[in-house]
Amino acid sequence: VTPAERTRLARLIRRVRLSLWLAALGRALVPGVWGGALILAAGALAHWRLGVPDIQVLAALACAPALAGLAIGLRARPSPETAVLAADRQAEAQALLLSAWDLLAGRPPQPAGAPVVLAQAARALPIWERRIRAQRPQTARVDLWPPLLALLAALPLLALQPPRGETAGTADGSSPAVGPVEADPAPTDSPSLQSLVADLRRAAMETPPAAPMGTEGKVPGGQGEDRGPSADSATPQGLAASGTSGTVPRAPTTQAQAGGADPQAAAPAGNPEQAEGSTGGPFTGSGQDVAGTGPASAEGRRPAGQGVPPAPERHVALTRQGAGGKPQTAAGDTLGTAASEPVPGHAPSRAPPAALPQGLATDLTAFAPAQRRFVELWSARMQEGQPQ
Amino acid sequence: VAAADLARLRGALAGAIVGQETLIEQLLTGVLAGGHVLLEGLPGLGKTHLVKALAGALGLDLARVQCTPDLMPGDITGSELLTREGDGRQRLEFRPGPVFANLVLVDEINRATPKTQAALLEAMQEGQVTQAGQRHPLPRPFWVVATQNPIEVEGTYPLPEAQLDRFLLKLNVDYPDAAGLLAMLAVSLDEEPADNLTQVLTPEAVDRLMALARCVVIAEPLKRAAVDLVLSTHPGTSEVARRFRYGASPRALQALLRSARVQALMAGRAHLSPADLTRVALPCLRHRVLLTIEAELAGDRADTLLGSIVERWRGCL
Repeated sequence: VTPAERTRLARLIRRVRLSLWLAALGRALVPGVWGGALILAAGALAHWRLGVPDIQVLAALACAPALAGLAIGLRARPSPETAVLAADRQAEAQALLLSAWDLLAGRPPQPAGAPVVLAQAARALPIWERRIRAQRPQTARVDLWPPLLALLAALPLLALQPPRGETAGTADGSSPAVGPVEADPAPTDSPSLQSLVADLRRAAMETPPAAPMGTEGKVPGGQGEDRGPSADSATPQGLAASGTSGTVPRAPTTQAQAGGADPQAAAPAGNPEQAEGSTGGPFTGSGQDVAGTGPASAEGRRPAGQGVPPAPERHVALTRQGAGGKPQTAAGDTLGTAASEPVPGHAPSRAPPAALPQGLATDLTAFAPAQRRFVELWSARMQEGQPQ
Repeated sequence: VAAADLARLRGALAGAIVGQETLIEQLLTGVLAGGHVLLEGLPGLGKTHLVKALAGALGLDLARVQCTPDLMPGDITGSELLTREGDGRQRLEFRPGPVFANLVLVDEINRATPKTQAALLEAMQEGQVTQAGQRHPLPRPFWVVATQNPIEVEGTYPLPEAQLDRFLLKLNVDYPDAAGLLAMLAVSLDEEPADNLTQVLTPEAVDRLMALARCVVIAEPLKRAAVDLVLSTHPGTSEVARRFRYGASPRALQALLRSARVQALMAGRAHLSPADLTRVALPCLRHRVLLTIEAELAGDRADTLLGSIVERWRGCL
């Protein structure tokens, strides 16, 4: 065997070893890459819907399986003996290549047949090169391209800094500049805009003209009373607030907020007036008539006793606000609190065109932007005396 | 030249024993590897004729021993006889037995008593016979080809494992197919071709072939593969090997590689290949493993179990 033939044989074995290594690398990468792609897809979905996980965490999670597969594949480098065995198999050399390589490795003592084997190997070397070249897989692992490209595209995200808007605050403590959030989903427990418009229109139709409220303590009703939940769903907190304020809360409460309070349970807190036993209270029967005839009568929600008749102007405003369908109990409390503020003087015959009450203004933050704008618009129109 | 000699030898034997080409090749493998061969098969399959044909083709001195229960060791190895010389003095003279031949055919070896069987041990292993404290070397080359009948077990003495291990190969003589039987009629209906076989190779040529077989290159990975194969017959190494009570001995490894070298030579190669090992694996290993009682009761056969082990071993190459 000449040195050139020896070099050719060594190069042949190196080529086979490299191809074996690449094949092992591919085998190790397949599960990692596909796993990473799955993580990337699931994480991207979660990030799009929920905002978590962070994009950098997602990229790291997605790349981790592929990198692990890469590490395993890099460690799976075949030994020279494995490469020779594979080369012998690919070249169909019937162990002649293997024997020649073993002899060239120079392990003494050389058997007497060594020169014959080496000579045969030198003659067969071109044939082996052709066969191995022909058997080398020509097709690339196309199945790996889509997940691999996705992962490669995700890899640069690791180097990116998170945008400022995603942080909780800036370094100086000021709120980050966040633009108007138009796409914020409305709270699930708030009425939709359409129902809000319908309520507004119904309230405008049914609400009598702003009548001055007498000092006899009649409580004007409204559509909000009819719409509102029954006394069964009134919260003790809301009743208590109403009882102390002496006004009728207009805010409907949800069953969830009611906490399963019943009139009996609410009575001690709010001291509700019972219809049949209300003889000396501040509320009269006419008040009941005005209050509405719905099945959810307001007996349980009418506070008795120390209730202070509301100021007329407050009454008008509250009536219309109540017709607006404040959806939250908190809003109702707020209204009640606002109404319970002492207002000096007598009530005018009409509600003066005034700005939104302060309690309502602060409470508008609970609304969605669209609702907030709608209420503001409605308030402005009400102040201008325009019909709905 | 070696390949041509081997081809001529195989052709001569195939002309005498029709339809047993594989058996002929395996017998030649054992002989050229310098080992002893145990032939197992039903009566009438041509075992004795094959050995006679081999001796005739190689021009070897053939001795035949028909084993019976009353066969004594001296009947095989030889004995001392009281002789009277010309001057009237008497002395003990060693008369060599039939074992002093190049090729010894021991027919139905399992019918001999263990004592007689043991007499063959020294001859097969050491190539000598010790009589009255005197060593008598056997002629070179020396082969023992024994036959046994697997069916008739009554009145037989199965060979002990130590005796079996001395045989390089154990060959099963299969029944010939229809074409083989027809061809046999054409050549051996009225006469035995083995009796008239002319010599094909000289003893020197046989020696040269045996020397060439020792020159075959065995790569290190193939040596390790042979070791793996032998070790895989040991109980506990696999589920199949769990049915073996004892695995193959180190002598089995030597037999495996020696036989495989001859196979490579017969294939015209100067190097060993895994296929050579595969071809001789069963003949080398089948009589060197011992089945458990449970496996024997379950009807397992050593050939079947070894076949699955060899198959799995080939997959790992």
